[in-house]
Amino acid sequence: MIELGELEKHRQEFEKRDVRVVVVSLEGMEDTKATQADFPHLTIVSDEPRRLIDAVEVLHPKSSPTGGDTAAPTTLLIDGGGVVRWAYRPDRVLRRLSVTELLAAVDAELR
Amino acid sequence: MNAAVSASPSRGHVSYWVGVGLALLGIVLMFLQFGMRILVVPWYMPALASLGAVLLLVSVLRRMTIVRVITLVLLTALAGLEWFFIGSMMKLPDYQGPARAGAAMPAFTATLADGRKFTDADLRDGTRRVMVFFRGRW
Repeated sequence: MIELGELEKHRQEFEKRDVRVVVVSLEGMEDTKATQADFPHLTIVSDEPRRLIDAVEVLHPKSSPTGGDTAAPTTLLIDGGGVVRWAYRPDRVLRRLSVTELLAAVDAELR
Repeated sequence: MNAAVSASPSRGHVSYWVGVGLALLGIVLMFLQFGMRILVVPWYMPALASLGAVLLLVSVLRRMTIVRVITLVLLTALAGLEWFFIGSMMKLPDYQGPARAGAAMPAFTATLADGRKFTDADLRDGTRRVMVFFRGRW
Protein backbone atom coordinates (compact mmCIF):
# COMPACT_ATOMS: atom_id res chain seq x y z
CA MET A 1 0.00 0.00 0.00
CA ILE A 2 3.00 2.31 0.51
CA GLU A 3 3.73 2.12 -3.21
CA LEU A 4 0.17 3.07 -4.16
CA GLY A 5 0.16 5.89 -1.62
CA GLU A 6 3.29 7.36 -3.18
CA LEU A 7 1.86 7.06 -6.70
CA GLU A 8 -1.35 8.76 -5.59
CA LYS A 9 0.53 11.47 -3.74
CA HIS A 10 2.61 12.32 -6.82
CA ARG A 11 -0.24 11.98 -9.31
CA GLN A 12 0.35 15.46 -10.69
CA GLU A 13 3.78 14.41 -11.91
CA PHE A 14 2.15 11.67 -13.97
CA GLU A 15 -0.66 13.95 -15.15
CA LYS A 16 1.92 16.50 -16.25
CA ARG A 17 3.48 13.81 -18.43
CA ASP A 18 0.06 12.64 -19.67
CA VAL A 19 0.66 9.18 -18.25
CA ARG A 20 -1.99 7.11 -16.52
CA VAL A 21 -1.16 4.77 -13.64
CA VAL A 22 -2.93 1.39 -13.76
CA VAL A 23 -2.70 -0.93 -10.76
CA VAL A 24 -3.49 -4.62 -11.21
CA SER A 25 -3.96 -7.25 -8.52
CA LEU A 26 -5.49 -10.68 -8.04
CA GLU A 27 -7.99 -9.27 -5.58
CA GLY A 28 -11.74 -9.54 -6.10
CA MET A 29 -14.15 -6.69 -6.72
CA GLU A 30 -14.75 -5.82 -3.06
CA ASP A 31 -11.07 -5.21 -2.37
CA THR A 32 -10.60 -3.54 -5.75
CA LYS A 33 -13.40 -1.07 -4.99
CA ALA A 34 -11.87 -0.36 -1.58
CA THR A 35 -8.44 0.23 -3.14
CA GLN A 36 -10.00 2.51 -5.76
CA ALA A 37 -11.69 4.51 -2.99
CA ASP A 38 -8.36 4.84 -1.17
CA PHE A 39 -6.48 5.90 -4.31
CA PRO A 40 -9.03 7.70 -6.49
CA HIS A 41 -6.53 9.02 -9.04
CA LEU A 42 -5.11 5.62 -9.92
CA THR A 43 -6.91 3.12 -12.17
CA ILE A 44 -7.40 -0.01 -10.09
CA VAL A 45 -7.96 -3.27 -11.96
CA SER A 46 -9.20 -6.59 -10.58
CA ASP A 47 -7.74 -9.67 -12.21
CA GLU A 48 -9.19 -12.35 -9.99
CA PRO A 49 -9.52 -14.79 -12.95
CA ARG A 50 -5.80 -14.18 -13.64
CA ARG A 51 -6.20 -13.54 -17.35
CA LEU A 52 -3.87 -10.54 -17.38
CA ILE A 53 -1.50 -11.81 -14.70
CA ASP A 54 -1.15 -15.18 -16.46
CA ALA A 55 -0.78 -13.53 -19.88
CA VAL A 56 2.05 -11.35 -18.60
CA GLU A 57 3.42 -14.17 -16.41
CA VAL A 58 3.73 -12.27 -13.15
CA LEU A 59 2.05 -14.77 -10.82
CA HIS A 60 3.97 -15.27 -7.57
CA PRO A 61 2.59 -18.51 -6.13
CA LYS A 62 1.97 -18.94 -2.39
CA SER A 63 3.53 -15.60 -1.55
CA SER A 64 0.81 -13.85 0.42
CA PRO A 65 0.91 -13.84 4.23
CA THR A 66 -1.99 -16.30 4.18
CA GLY A 67 -0.22 -18.63 1.74
CA GLY A 68 -2.23 -17.60 -1.31
CA ASP A 69 -0.95 -16.43 -4.68
CA THR A 70 -0.15 -12.81 -5.48
CA ALA A 71 1.05 -10.78 -8.42
CA ALA A 72 4.81 -10.40 -8.23
CA PRO A 73 5.66 -6.71 -7.93
CA THR A 74 6.39 -5.71 -11.51
CA THR A 75 6.17 -2.38 -13.31
CA LEU A 76 5.59 -1.96 -17.05
CA LEU A 77 5.69 1.18 -19.13
CA ILE A 78 3.28 0.84 -22.06
CA ASP A 79 3.04 3.28 -24.94
CA GLY A 80 -0.17 4.49 -26.58
CA GLY A 81 -0.09 1.63 -29.05
CA GLY A 82 -0.09 -1.07 -26.38
CA VAL A 83 3.60 -1.84 -26.77
CA VAL A 84 5.73 -2.45 -23.69
CA ARG A 85 8.60 0.03 -23.58
CA TRP A 86 10.18 -0.93 -20.27
CA ALA A 87 9.74 -3.66 -17.65
CA TYR A 88 11.02 -3.66 -14.09
CA ARG A 89 11.07 -6.51 -11.58
CA PRO A 90 12.80 -5.90 -8.23
CA ASP A 91 15.11 -8.60 -6.92
CA ARG A 92 13.41 -8.61 -3.52
CA VAL A 93 9.73 -8.43 -2.54
CA LEU A 94 10.42 -5.47 -0.25
CA ARG A 95 11.94 -3.35 -2.99
CA ARG A 96 9.90 -0.97 -5.14
CA LEU A 97 10.75 1.81 -7.51
CA SER A 98 10.59 5.20 -5.88
CA VAL A 99 8.44 7.76 -7.66
CA THR A 100 11.63 9.55 -8.68
CA GLU A 101 13.02 6.38 -10.26
CA LEU A 102 9.72 5.66 -11.98
CA LEU A 103 9.41 9.18 -13.38
CA ALA A 104 12.99 8.98 -14.66
CA ALA A 105 12.08 5.76 -16.47
CA VAL A 106 8.92 7.37 -17.87
CA ASP A 107 10.94 10.33 -19.14
CA ALA A 108 13.54 8.05 -20.70
CA GLU A 109 11.34 5.30 -22.14
CA LEU A 110 7.90 6.80 -22.83
CA ARG A 111 8.83 10.00 -24.67
CA MET B 1 44.29 -4.49 43.63
CA ASN B 2 41.02 -2.85 44.49
CA ALA B 3 40.91 -1.18 41.09
CA ALA B 4 41.48 -4.54 39.36
CA VAL B 5 38.68 -6.23 41.32
CA SER B 6 36.19 -3.45 40.66
CA ALA B 7 37.04 -3.39 36.92
CA SER B 8 36.62 -7.15 36.53
CA PRO B 9 32.79 -7.37 36.38
CA SER B 10 32.65 -4.78 33.59
CA ARG B 11 35.06 -6.61 31.26
CA GLY B 12 33.30 -6.81 27.92
CA HIS B 13 30.42 -4.78 29.26
CA VAL B 14 30.68 -2.14 26.52
CA SER B 15 30.91 -4.80 23.78
CA TYR B 16 27.82 -6.48 25.22
CA TRP B 17 25.62 -3.40 25.21
CA VAL B 18 26.91 -2.01 21.91
CA GLY B 19 26.27 -5.43 20.34
CA VAL B 20 22.71 -5.60 21.67
CA GLY B 21 22.18 -1.97 20.68
CA LEU B 22 23.32 -2.52 17.10
CA ALA B 23 20.94 -5.45 16.64
CA LEU B 24 18.05 -3.40 18.01
CA LEU B 25 19.12 -0.38 15.94
CA GLY B 26 18.76 -2.43 12.75
CA ILE B 27 15.15 -3.27 13.63
CA VAL B 28 14.34 0.31 14.64
CA LEU B 29 15.88 1.66 11.41
CA MET B 30 13.83 -0.81 9.37
CA PHE B 31 10.58 0.41 10.96
CA LEU B 32 11.68 4.02 10.47
CA GLN B 33 12.54 3.34 6.84
CA PHE B 34 9.14 1.86 6.02
CA GLY B 35 7.47 4.52 8.14
CA MET B 36 9.15 7.06 5.87
CA ARG B 37 7.81 5.13 2.85
CA ILE B 38 11.24 4.23 1.55
CA LEU B 39 10.91 0.88 -0.19
CA VAL B 40 14.49 -0.36 -0.40
CA VAL B 41 15.86 -3.67 0.86
CA PRO B 42 17.03 -3.19 4.48
CA TRP B 43 20.32 -5.07 4.13
CA TYR B 44 21.66 -3.02 7.03
CA MET B 45 19.38 -4.93 9.42
CA PRO B 46 21.12 -8.36 9.21
CA ALA B 47 24.47 -6.59 8.83
CA LEU B 48 23.97 -4.72 12.11
CA ALA B 49 22.69 -7.86 13.87
CA SER B 50 25.76 -9.77 12.64
CA LEU B 51 28.08 -7.04 13.85
CA GLY B 52 26.19 -7.12 17.15
CA ALA B 53 26.72 -10.88 17.39
CA VAL B 54 30.47 -10.42 16.80
CA LEU B 55 30.62 -7.85 19.61
CA LEU B 56 28.66 -10.24 21.83
CA LEU B 57 31.23 -12.93 21.06
CA VAL B 58 34.00 -10.51 22.06
CA SER B 59 32.08 -9.82 25.26
CA VAL B 60 31.76 -13.55 26.02
CA LEU B 61 35.45 -14.13 25.32
CA ARG B 62 36.36 -11.37 27.74
CA ARG B 63 34.08 -12.63 30.48
CA MET B 64 31.80 -15.62 30.09
CA THR B 65 28.47 -15.46 31.89
CA ILE B 66 25.23 -17.34 31.30
CA VAL B 67 23.43 -14.13 30.35
CA ARG B 68 26.07 -13.21 27.78
CA VAL B 69 26.11 -16.69 26.25
CA ILE B 70 22.30 -16.74 26.00
CA THR B 71 22.29 -13.27 24.46
CA LEU B 72 24.98 -14.32 21.99
CA VAL B 73 22.94 -17.35 20.94
CA LEU B 74 19.79 -15.23 20.55
CA LEU B 75 21.55 -12.51 18.59
CA THR B 76 23.26 -15.02 16.31
CA ALA B 77 19.88 -16.65 15.67
CA LEU B 78 18.35 -13.23 14.98
CA ALA B 79 21.09 -12.35 12.50
CA GLY B 80 20.72 -15.72 10.77
CA LEU B 81 16.96 -15.31 10.58
CA GLU B 82 17.27 -11.83 9.13
CA TRP B 83 19.80 -12.96 6.49
CA PHE B 84 17.53 -15.87 5.57
CA PHE B 85 14.42 -13.67 5.47
CA ILE B 86 15.91 -10.98 3.24
CA GLY B 87 18.39 -13.09 1.32
CA SER B 88 16.18 -16.04 0.51
CA MET B 89 12.53 -15.69 1.50
CA MET B 90 12.12 -12.21 0.03
CA LYS B 91 13.90 -13.06 -3.22
CA LEU B 92 11.86 -12.71 -6.38
CA PRO B 93 12.45 -14.81 -9.48
CA ASP B 94 13.83 -12.94 -12.49
CA TYR B 95 11.14 -11.84 -14.90
CA GLN B 96 10.94 -14.28 -17.84
CA GLY B 97 7.53 -13.30 -19.21
CA PRO B 98 6.49 -11.90 -22.58
CA ALA B 99 6.05 -8.25 -21.52
CA ARG B 100 9.47 -7.12 -22.68
CA ALA B 101 10.57 -3.89 -24.27
CA GLY B 102 9.32 -3.74 -27.85
CA ALA B 103 6.68 -6.48 -27.44
CA ALA B 104 2.95 -5.83 -27.69
CA MET B 105 0.97 -6.54 -24.56
CA PRO B 106 -0.63 -9.98 -24.81
CA ALA B 107 -4.41 -10.32 -25.10
CA PHE B 108 -6.29 -10.16 -21.79
CA THR B 109 -9.55 -9.18 -20.16
CA ALA B 110 -9.74 -7.78 -16.64
CA THR B 111 -12.22 -5.65 -14.68
CA LEU B 112 -12.07 -2.05 -13.53
CA ALA B 113 -13.25 -1.10 -10.04
CA ASP B 114 -16.53 0.20 -11.51
CA GLY B 115 -17.25 -3.15 -13.16
CA ARG B 116 -16.33 -2.19 -16.73
CA LYS B 117 -14.07 -4.45 -18.75
CA PHE B 118 -10.42 -3.54 -19.25
CA THR B 119 -8.69 -5.29 -22.13
CA ASP B 120 -5.55 -5.14 -24.23
CA ALA B 121 -7.56 -3.10 -26.79
CA ASP B 122 -7.82 -0.31 -24.17
CA LEU B 123 -4.04 -0.12 -24.15
CA ARG B 124 -4.06 0.91 -27.82
CA ASP B 125 -6.11 4.08 -27.30
CA GLY B 126 -3.13 6.41 -27.53
CA THR B 127 -2.76 6.86 -23.75
CA ARG B 128 0.62 6.07 -22.23
CA ARG B 129 0.46 4.01 -19.07
CA VAL B 130 2.43 2.81 -16.11
CA MET B 131 1.10 -0.65 -15.21
CA VAL B 132 1.90 -1.69 -11.65
CA PHE B 133 1.26 -5.24 -10.45
CA PHE B 134 0.26 -4.99 -6.82
CA ARG B 135 0.43 -7.79 -4.22
CA GLY B 136 -2.65 -6.90 -2.21
CA ARG B 137 -4.31 -4.81 0.48
CA TRP B 138 -3.21 -6.74 3.60
